[in-house]
Amino acid sequence: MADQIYEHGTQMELHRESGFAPEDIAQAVEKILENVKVKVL
Amino acid sequence: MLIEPGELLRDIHTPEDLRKLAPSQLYQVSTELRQYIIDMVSVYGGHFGASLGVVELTTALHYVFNTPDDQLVWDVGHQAYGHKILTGRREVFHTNRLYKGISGFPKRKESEYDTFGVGHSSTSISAALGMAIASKLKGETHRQHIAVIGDGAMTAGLAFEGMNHAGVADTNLLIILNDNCMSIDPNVGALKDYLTDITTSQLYNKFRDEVWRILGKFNRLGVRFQQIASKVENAVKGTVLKQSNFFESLGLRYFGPVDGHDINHLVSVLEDLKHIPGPKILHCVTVKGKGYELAEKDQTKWHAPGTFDKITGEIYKKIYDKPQPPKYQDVFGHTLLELAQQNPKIMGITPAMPSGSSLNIMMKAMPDRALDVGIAEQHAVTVSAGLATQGQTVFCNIYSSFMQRAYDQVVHDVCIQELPVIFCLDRAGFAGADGPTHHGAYDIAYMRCLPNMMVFSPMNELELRNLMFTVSLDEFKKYKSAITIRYPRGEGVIPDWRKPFEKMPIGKGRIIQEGEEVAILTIGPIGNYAVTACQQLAKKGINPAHYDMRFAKPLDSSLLHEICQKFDKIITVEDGCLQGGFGSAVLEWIAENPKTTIPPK
Ligand SMILES: Cc1ncc(C[n+]2csc(CCOP(=O)(O)OP(=O)(O)O)c2C)c(N)n1
Repeated sequence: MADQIYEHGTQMELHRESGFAPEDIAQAVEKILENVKVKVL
Repeated sequence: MLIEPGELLRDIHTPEDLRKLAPSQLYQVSTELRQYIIDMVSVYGGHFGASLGVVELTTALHYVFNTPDDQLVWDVGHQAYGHKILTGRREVFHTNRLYKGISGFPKRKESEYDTFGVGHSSTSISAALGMAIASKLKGETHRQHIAVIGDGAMTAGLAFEGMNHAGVADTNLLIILNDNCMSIDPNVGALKDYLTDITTSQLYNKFRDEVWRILGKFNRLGVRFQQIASKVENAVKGTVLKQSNFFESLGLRYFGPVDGHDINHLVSVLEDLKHIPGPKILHCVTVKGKGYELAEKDQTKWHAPGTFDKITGEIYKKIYDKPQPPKYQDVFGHTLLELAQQNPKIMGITPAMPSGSSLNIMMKAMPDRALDVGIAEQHAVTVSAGLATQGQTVFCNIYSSFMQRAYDQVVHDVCIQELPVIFCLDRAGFAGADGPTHHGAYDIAYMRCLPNMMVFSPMNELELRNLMFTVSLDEFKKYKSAITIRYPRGEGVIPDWRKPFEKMPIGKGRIIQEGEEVAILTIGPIGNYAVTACQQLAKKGINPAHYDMRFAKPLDSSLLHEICQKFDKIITVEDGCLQGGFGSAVLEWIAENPKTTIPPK
């Protein structure tokens, strides 16, 4: 979670917002492979 | 679904509208407000019993006091639905607790009527006192400051600290003790017994009513008469209670107990109290769940029941055709009992969350060895430490965010003293609909920095079970270290989780999937997202490695060496804050071991 206050929602909604739902993890892997600097959340 | 408010409630958009009504209409307003809460919560879910119990109090407070100029502070805030509905949020109430919707708790950003953000208990007296002191300094002596606090919240040290200060601070502070004898589970402790004694003392109540009658008259006659009345009242109270009243001895003038459901009486009592200067406490007796029979009968179940059929009272549950994974809290609860049956040294401690943590399973079977200590996280930690000095194996279960309150106790009473207390932090990571006050975001960071503290998170139910077993063995005590076991709200991933115990190596991670080019390092159940991510990536021909590191402290150094020799691209994933968390731990490790590694991208 980034340095911010996350409000309420379902756990999955909040995982998405904070960038670590399964798709986000997959995307991070793809980006790091492309040598794009991944903004870690 | 369209839920219509009653005919009076429909026209109340702010408390100003409420204050235009005649006192004789307030009963109807309360009835409509109660019905509206039942209608809304049955469809949209949320906290239930607590708000029903304060419907009359909420209506009377906004009627008598000039909110928001007079400052009303709710404790915990799970009982503030009526307050939200009367203060301009009725039309958005269907978004309560939903993503991007209104918060389930008072929130300063949301409304000027929400004077203080809450979620954690027992803050209201201190916060309202702070406001009252500020008003006094600014010369705003007309302003009233009201803290509404439950008998459960009153058991916390913070509430006592607030009263101790309030009693000598000479401000316009009114504490309303909303006494329904319930926390989420039945309230516990000596204070509860004391409150029950006052409430049921017939002699005291007879005198009290008489004193109240006289006091009411004197109040209208001015300050000197008030002083006389006050003396009479104190003398009578002292004699009748045969000892000084607990609150009075803290310098708070004590009034009550009054019936918190008699709206007209409440209004007249509050009107009187408005004219009595100085710090005071009104003891209101209410029924949690009032007006919805099932909620009155089973108050724990109806604290936050989820959605339900308001006519039949059937609570909707998803029906599955195959066995589902259990909640982590239930794995904790059942496993602890199993372990305790084999090991007489094991004890369980919870600060007021027997149902929420599932420690109630052990409490039922072994009432002497599993204790609810009230809403008292600091005490829960130190009493665990005390038990540990005597060789007990203590599992102290506290929600991750509530543990924040007991940080000094963890440092001072556990870590510095090398005591092997086992902390089970439930609701670690995003808590969901309860929002930011309840997210267990910081525990990895705040526990990881402490000497004599290990930090573990299980990826699934079996890992939780096996680690609990491992640390319950006497040999764990040789580490002279406490341990934090963090797990989230909700269900795990393994329906068939009751497997024989297996010992786990302390400080060791494991490989979930071999791979190429990129390594994903996870800690805790969020690792299951990485499993899904790997499956998605496999379809694209990408095969990252995945490691479940299990421990944020101690880190598995040999595994990290291996990983860093194989991979120059590492991604860490955790359900916690970025700064100071597991990812930071890995970065620190890499910085300390530069020869083995290529810096991660
Ligand atoms: C510091 C802290 N610990 C635990 C909780 C969980 N919790 C929420 S409501 C509640 C019970 C509060 O009881 P009480 O103050 O009597 O209010 P009631 O629900 O009876 O209205 C508890 C234990 C919390 N919110 N904050």
